[in-house]
Amino acid sequence: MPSIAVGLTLQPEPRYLELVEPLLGFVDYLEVTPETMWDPRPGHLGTNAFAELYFGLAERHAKGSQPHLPFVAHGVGLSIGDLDPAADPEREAWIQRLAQNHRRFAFRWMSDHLGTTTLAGETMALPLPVPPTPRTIAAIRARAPSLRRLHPLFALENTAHLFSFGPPLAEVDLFASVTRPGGFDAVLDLYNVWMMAENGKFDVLGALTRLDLRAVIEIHLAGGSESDPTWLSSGRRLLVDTHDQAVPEPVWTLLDAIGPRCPNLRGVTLERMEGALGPDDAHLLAYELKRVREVVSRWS
Amino acid sequence: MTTSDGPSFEQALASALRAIDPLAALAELRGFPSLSAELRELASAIDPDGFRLTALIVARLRLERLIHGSPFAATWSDADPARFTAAFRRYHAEVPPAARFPTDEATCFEAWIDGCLVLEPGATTDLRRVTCATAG
Repeated sequence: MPSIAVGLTLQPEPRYLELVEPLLGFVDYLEVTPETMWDPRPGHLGTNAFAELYFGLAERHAKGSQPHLPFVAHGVGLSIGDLDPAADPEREAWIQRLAQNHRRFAFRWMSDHLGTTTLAGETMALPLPVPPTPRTIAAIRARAPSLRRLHPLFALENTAHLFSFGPPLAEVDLFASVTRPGGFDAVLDLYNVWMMAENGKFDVLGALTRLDLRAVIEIHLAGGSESDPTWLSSGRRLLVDTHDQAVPEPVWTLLDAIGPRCPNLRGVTLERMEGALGPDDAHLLAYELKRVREVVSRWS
Repeated sequence: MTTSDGPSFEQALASALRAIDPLAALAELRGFPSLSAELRELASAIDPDGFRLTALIVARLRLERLIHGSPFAATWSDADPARFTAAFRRYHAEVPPAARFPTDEATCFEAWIDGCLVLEPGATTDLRRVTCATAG
């Protein structure tokens, strides 16, 4: 792969995969969410058909002498911030299942979200914020060694939260605390941090100076949407990380500003959610992938 | 996290996110007399709009998981959106989500429905004539 590669997410949706296949000539790697390839069976997690669909795509669009386009893993369900000891066995089983995927896919790096998708045993599906206390920080950082045994490059992504425990910048500081040297690597989702800055009314570039950018191995780019004002009694609109729209210009500006300051950056991934692509969106994705390539080429 | 950093603050937070009125539940949580000063401060800092929107998204994701895993739920939601929605709201508030995958959510929902299903006289497979007895 190039020194800073360009990637695209794959989603477990046949129509999505049909629409993006013609674009795979523009990418160097594919990002997959491992748990979307799992098929729950009694007593174990099997593998569904998407694993082979993804491999087929990667093989058909292999470059040079590679057998297939490389993969990276980006999960949602690890729940790294759940401190309840009752959650430990399930997390360990999750990690073991990720290891099986890694043996097949040979992920170049792996990641999941900072936050918790479980609260007192309840599955929230969405990564939620965790209290930015010293106990939480220590507990999350203590999990880094076991995940590095899974993969030497294991990163956490800055999640886009709609609420936080404390001022919005506390979430940025929490991310900084768990990704500084000795902790996890970082996936820096520029839409997520921009979204939180817009909603929380803080300066996004100032916030990014609080991070040790040496930890960043991957940057995510996406676009989101605004909530409907009728959803809240206040009538307020909030940006939401729906990852279903074009990358907004302020996020491209952030990419230009921050990317060159990440000395260990390996890839920039364009993300779209399943259900977010229509037949007319391929040209937009192609434009965005080419734009990412132009931007990262300028840094070299 | 409780006053002694046990799990009940998290339980209360989870319940608040699933409540029919998440903001009322959050206000109640903030007023727990046994809440530690640290936890009270954390709970007080939660933006109510962000919390409400998060609760909506959590419900939406659970609904999607259910529809994806349950042909019964998918058919019912198409045939009678109003009654299905009422039933789902009740299910979401009453039943803590434990499912990670669509098929597991489907099993849980269908078991819950079995406990409350009422068919109007003469109804057979017409889902427009299905009511969940515990739904409003």
